[in-house]
Amino acid sequence: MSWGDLRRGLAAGWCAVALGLSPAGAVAQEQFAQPAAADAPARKAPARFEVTVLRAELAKGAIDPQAERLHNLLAKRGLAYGTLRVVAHQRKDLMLGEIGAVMTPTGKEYRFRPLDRGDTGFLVAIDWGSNRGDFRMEPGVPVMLGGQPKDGGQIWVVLELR
Amino acid sequence: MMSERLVKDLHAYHDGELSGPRRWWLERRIAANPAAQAELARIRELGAALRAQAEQTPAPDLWSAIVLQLPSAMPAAEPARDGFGFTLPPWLGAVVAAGAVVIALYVLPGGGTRTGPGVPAVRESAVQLLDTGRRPAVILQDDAEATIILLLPRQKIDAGRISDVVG
Repeated sequence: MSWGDLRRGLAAGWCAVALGLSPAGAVAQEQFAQPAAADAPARKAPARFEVTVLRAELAKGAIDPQAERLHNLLAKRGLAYGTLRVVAHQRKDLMLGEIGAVMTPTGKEYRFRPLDRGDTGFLVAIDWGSNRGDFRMEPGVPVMLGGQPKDGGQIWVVLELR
Repeated sequence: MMSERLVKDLHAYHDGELSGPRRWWLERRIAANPAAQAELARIRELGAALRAQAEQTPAPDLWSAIVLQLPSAMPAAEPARDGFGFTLPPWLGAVVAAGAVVIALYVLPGGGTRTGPGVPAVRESAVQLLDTGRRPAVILQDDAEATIILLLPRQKIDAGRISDVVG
């Protein structure tokens, strides 16, 4: 093998590596994986949130019919509340990057923002007080955040995609 | 007074990231500089302490397993006397507190499932990041049915009893 052959071989190798590893290469790979143009309207659809604020107590009382499913979910995890009342319920449609907010009776604001769109749901950032989280949300699978005390009870904020 | 660059180099040296001439140059500099020697000793102590702590800390998978067992470990709730009457086993407080600072899971680009040719769909965790500062938190559930997160009070966790939930 001559010196020229070696140089040509090295150059070809570098090109192959550069194409494979460069951001452009990654983008190209990603573009192959993009869904067809027919999906475009769906990919512009907003994230449709349903936000519920609950007040829970251990004392035996009434379970709000609207909160029956959430009560069952909590009970299965050992949080057997005797009373569960829907304090607020709202719907918010948000485009990517838009921020929605809900205020609890304790005066704490929960802010949520769809960051990215997946095949079946959204990556959503939620922050409340000094806490924050990113959640991969799918329709019908609620994200339930609890822990705020309120008059001997506890506040739960439930975020769900419709 | 050491420069910021030297301190960074000392960290890199300690982590074995330096090689060749840079390593040789830094070793000469350390040999001639008592402050650099002291700093390197401090970094080594810190590293040893962190390693010791890491060995004692359960892996995230273990945390998940423990958290998933929480309901069965939690006796039926009694009527609240001084707040919430949920009683937790004493060891859980330490586990929860250890896991509370930041629970950072991985984020995969694209959808919420890992799929591929011949690979059955596996649901990824919904919780990609959870930062509650120094406040302990428990992920009670994270599956296709719901994601349930309970923030616990800073106080009284060590006693194994949730009697006051800090707002």
